Amino acid sequence: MWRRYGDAAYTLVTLAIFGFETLALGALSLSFLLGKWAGVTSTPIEGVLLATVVSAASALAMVGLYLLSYQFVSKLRDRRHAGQLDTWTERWIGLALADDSAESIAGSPRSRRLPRAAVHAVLSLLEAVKGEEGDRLKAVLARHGVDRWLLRHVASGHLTARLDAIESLGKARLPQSLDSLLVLLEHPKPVVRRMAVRAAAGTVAIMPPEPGPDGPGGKFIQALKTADLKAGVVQESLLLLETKAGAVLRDLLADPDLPDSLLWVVLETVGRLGLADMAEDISRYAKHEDPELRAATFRALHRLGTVPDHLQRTLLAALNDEVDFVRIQAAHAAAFLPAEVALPALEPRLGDDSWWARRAAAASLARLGDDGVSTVKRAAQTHPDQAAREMAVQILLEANLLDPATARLAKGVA
Amino acid sequence: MWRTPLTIYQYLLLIYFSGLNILYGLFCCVGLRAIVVIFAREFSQGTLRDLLERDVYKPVSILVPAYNEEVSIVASVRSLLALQFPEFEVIVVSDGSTDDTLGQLYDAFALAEQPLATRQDLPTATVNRTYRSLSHPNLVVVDKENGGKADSLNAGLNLARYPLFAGVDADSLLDGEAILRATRLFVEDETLIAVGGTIRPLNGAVVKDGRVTEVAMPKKWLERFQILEYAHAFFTGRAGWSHFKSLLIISGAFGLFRRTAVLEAGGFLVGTVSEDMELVVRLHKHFVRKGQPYNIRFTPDPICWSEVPSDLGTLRRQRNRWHRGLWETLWTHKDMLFNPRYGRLGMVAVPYFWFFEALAPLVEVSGYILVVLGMLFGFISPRFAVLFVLLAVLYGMLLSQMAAGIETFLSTRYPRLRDRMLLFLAAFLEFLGYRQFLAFERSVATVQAPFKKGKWGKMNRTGISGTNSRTPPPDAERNLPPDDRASDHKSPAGV
Repeated sequence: MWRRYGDAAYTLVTLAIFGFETLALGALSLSFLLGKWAGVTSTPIEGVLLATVVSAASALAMVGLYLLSYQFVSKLRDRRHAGQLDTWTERWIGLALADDSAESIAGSPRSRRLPRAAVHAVLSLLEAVKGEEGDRLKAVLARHGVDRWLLRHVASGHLTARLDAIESLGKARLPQSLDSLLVLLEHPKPVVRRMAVRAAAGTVAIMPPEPGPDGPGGKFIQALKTADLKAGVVQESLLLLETKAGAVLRDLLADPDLPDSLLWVVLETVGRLGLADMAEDISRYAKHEDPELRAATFRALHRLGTVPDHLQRTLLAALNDEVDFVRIQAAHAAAFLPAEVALPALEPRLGDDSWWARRAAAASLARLGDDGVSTVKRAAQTHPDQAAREMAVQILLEANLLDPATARLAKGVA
Repeated sequence: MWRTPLTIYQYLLLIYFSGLNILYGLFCCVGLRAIVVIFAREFSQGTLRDLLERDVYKPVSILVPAYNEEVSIVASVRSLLALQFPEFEVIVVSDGSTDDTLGQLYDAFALAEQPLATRQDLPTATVNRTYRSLSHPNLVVVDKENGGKADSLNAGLNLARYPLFAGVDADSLLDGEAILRATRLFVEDETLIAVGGTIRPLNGAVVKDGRVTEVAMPKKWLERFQILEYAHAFFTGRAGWSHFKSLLIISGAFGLFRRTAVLEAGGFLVGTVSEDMELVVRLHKHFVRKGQPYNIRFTPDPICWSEVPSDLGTLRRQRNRWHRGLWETLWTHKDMLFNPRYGRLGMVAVPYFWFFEALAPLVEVSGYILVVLGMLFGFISPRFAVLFVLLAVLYGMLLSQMAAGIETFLSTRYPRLRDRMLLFLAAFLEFLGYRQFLAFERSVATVQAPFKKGKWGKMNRTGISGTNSRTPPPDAERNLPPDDRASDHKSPAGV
């Protein structure tokens, strides 16, 4: 979307212009003030004004020249880069699929630095290629010192270089970069922390599991607990753990001192990843005093498509919870209760005060087989509450269980 | 006797001029750093794809208020339905259209009447019928009595199913990834309640299958001037204010909001011509008063393409309306001015909008008059006057170029070197009448503001053609709105 070269120089140009013009305008205003109300016709003020005009014209010329040059150079460079990228991608694919060792195929001296297009091409491939093929490509990166170069830039004081390096490491997923990335979770700049945690999660995802606090998962958890990250970012990183997520989530749940904010993220992630074998682990939070956590538990169970037997009574009670969003999530999860338990509990919820709870109840009923659909159809015709009738019609329409003409009739009846 | 007050006024003008240009310069630097340096690196294509694959998104309801949009509605809805996003619904609200807007939609998307269970979160004009598309089940069309754009948005909000909603103008096109890029910010930041994207002029662009496939410089200078204005407004102004957590405008052409936050604040205000800015200011006010942490951001990447006026009459009416809208909003929320309770909003952002936006045209016009009078009566030397005007022009050009420079880093920039030269020339030419014309119209709007509250104005539109917006359909300008309520919904391009 954005070209990432020449921007730092342009930032410097604009900063220089801004600083210089601020001084020029300040000098102009000051000279006017010091003119002791002599008016703008006084010669010294005109002198300052002329100098300001000249400085503004110079600045304009500088910006104009920069932009014209940039447009020209970037056009050439983009074209050349695209060509090189294609060539290098082909070479790397050949290397990844070859049986020979990386050393013999790379065919370049150990110390030679890879061209930018070559690095871009291999990093893009590494996003998709895993396993042995990926290891071959990583070996080439190491052979040419790209990994060391990236790790050096990750520690760089220059923000753009650091961000570019973090992104590259996120693509490369080099195990040797994990510690450097986790250190960045304490960085004062939020953008660095966000990018680092995503890159670290991707790296943990491809590392062999190693139990204990010194394993990749353990280190990741420790860093996550102390990092100042928003819940959404933590959730993203947990989802990026892929197959390693289950173990990390279990370790997090095992911590009795886990802050509620992190617990909420864990519950959400379990549901999003569909880790059905963790339904038991999360079910104990269905009675948590915090309604956000209760709702998150039911939402997760709904996503997992299962409700442990021992949780039935809690779930039925939650359908009458005083907090509306808990009732809504409980109504969704109730679709996975046995029909004979769910039907009598959900039907009254069709008349819930909350529009969303009515909707969730109707949707769940419609998923409970023929009896559920019959209940919704009956509600569409005869429920004493007009809002409940309308919602029942709506759900039937969405599930293609009612044709629009009948729906209009039903609405007329309502 | 008159020399002293005139000299004082000159001094004030100079301070005003210096302050304004320094602020613009600051925003340019901040905008550049925030946009190009940080944002461009954090949200790479790979990151977005990774997150999308793992279902890290929040579903969105896209609300499209439409009033007599038969020219562009089908192309616009088609482009929305083609968005790369896993879960969204499009709700088109025909606001008592008197042309063939509904008919066009009916034919193009196989609409079938369906009664929908509507929440009555917000009061609106009567909803006559609701339709769902048989070909696109995520398309809902609402036919309601005329009540204005805000009323249409409120009607759409009553139907919206998802936690986020986007207000999109019916004559606008969104980039394929626009919603994805904007929504991910909500996933990441739970305190975020609204995000505004970048609006870029569609004029001159090549559109295929509802997508902008190529940008090119429009033929008319009037349109070229507006390219500079939009670059300035979005890439520097809004980026700057957003960086300082004081963003007061999210364009009505494309903004994404957390539904519950907007409902809590009371929805869109009916009866104003700047419902977009008014809502954002009200959201700030609501959450500050509530003492709840919140965030409202501008983000450069979700790009919305929108047609800008190509004739003077439409431009004049549009800017008149924008400026009246600005005054309406500022006046409605005048209690925020210099009110320390609202922090930097009350002490910096709102005063800025009062003094450097709302009053700016009056100051500018009075400056022109003063220079002429000063030269006539001899209290300003002609040399000084020429130098000062030259300085103003140079600063204007400099700021325009610095803002347009940010666009150079975009992959969808104006591709040819010639375009860049034309933009450079446009930055100069706009001072030869265009700027003065707008300043005058905005001054008129300032005077009209108390008397024309809530009045829109007739807009001429060439329409988004299915293949190329450079070649408008021959019947594009028929069936214009019969009253003076326009369907042009973009918000002020001013900083």
